[in-house]
Amino acid sequence: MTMHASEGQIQALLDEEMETGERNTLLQHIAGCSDCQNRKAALSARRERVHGVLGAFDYDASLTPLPRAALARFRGKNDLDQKEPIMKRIFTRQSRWAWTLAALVLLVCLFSLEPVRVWAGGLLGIFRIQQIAVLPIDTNNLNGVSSNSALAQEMSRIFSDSTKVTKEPGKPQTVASTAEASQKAGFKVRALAGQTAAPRISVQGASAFEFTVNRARAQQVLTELGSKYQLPAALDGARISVSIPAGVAVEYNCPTGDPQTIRRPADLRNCVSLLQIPSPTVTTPPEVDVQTLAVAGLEMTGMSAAEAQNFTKTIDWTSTLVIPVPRSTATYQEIQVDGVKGYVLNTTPNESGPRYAIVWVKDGIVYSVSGLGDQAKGLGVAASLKLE
Amino acid sequence: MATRNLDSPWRRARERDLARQAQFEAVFQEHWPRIYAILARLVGDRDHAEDLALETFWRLYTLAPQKGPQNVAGWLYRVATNLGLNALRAEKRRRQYEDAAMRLDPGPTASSNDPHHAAVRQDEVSAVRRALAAMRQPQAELLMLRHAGLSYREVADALGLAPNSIGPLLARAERDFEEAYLRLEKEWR
Repeated sequence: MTMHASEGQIQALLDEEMETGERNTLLQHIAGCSDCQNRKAALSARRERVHGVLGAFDYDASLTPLPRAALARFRGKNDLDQKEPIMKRIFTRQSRWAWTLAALVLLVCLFSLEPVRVWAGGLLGIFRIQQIAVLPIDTNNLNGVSSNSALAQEMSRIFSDSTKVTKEPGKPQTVASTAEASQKAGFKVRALAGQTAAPRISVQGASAFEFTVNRARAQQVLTELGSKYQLPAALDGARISVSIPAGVAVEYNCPTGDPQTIRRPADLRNCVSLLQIPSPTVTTPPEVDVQTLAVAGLEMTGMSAAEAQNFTKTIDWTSTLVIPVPRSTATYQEIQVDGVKGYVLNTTPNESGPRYAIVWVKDGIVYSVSGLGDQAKGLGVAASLKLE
Repeated sequence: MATRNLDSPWRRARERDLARQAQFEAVFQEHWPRIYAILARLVGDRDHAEDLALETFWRLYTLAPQKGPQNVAGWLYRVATNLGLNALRAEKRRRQYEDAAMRLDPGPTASSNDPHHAAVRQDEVSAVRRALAAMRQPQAELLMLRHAGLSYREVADALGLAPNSIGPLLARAERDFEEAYLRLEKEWR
């Protein structure tokens, strides 16, 4: 008994998607089978009708945006031209986890730039923030770090392999009011005055950890980055303790959901984020001359050895948070905000739009207000900033 | 004195990062026209089509390297068609698409001074979109991918099907499309 052609076979035949051998066999069968001939004719007619209707969809390819232009928009829309991870962290603190990044930024700044003055009598070095200073840097060297994820990972391994968490922060808790946040965080939490949107307030618990410096690994990183600096032997095995108090994020019109989701500028257009955290405390053993480490860190930013030495002399390293600002892509301006000296930091405009961050320290609390906008916007926000 | 290690693991990793970027950009440039065209057909509005096309590539971009699809082209077409059909189904956008369809080039035989023809074409495009939205999504995807010019093998790869199943599935999809189209056309008259 001869098998008739199936609908699927006829479809493939009409669509010219059949292997030659199978096609010839099928055609031979159809030629001698009136039933299959009728089915082929019916299927062909329906196919013509459907294709005719779908022809309304036919599209003029000349209207397609050029791929190169589309790729440029893709990169701009998704903010892919990242060069400075440190500044990126500052300017994109738009999620309720942003305070965590703030602490990490602080830690990076502290380790790469922080010297702690060795106190007479062998006291432990203690660092607590009371003011902020801005350090303009040449990012050519940092570009090698930011675009090299493996190098950045290796840098973190200088600490992470020996890191011991002595206090877990737990998951952030969303709370209903600044009063509740204050009670949980242990300091008076403030909000932006004059906002129409209800804030989303989250509290991240305090945490603490210790790590031991691996001098050989740290030296390898420095060498990879082109520094000729030789780290002191005393650094090997140095135990550094970091205590990060509870911090609070007060966000307005910011996206919710998985905080690990990569956020695009379109999602953050109206988002304003107020972060506040008491100064972390960093302790180092007295034998560590961290001032010389600061010189090494400053040299990595492009300063000459002489410039780095001079800069370290101008800063009270025991109480100053130094924020590196890349000369090529960011600007800063010293301002008065909340009754104290602070800074407005801005990225220079690109396809994804500029960002601003206002940073200041008051009564031992580090504050940051950030959002999308140019320098004028940042200055305007700073001038009208009122906290309650 | 320490010497620079020109073959350090970080350099190799950086080279891998750069290679991955270059590979993504090559994929983008190669497939952008077709992906955009699929979405422009589906949603009508060129700006929205561009947004959805960029979203398609964004999803590829954010895949972890070890989770990257083996058949990138097929994956892109599937995601794009999915996004377009989902958008088509959004109830509140359907009227916008019908208006936006007027902004599509009506074709080489159309005259911009022929409002009647433009209106007829708009009706036809709207009817096609309604029919696609009324179909089961896998069938609509199959039909759109085939209409976008993909071969049976490419369609099979995109949808994770056996190549020899495309013929029968497509025959059924065309039948269901015609039924949906005629039914909805009758309801709208």
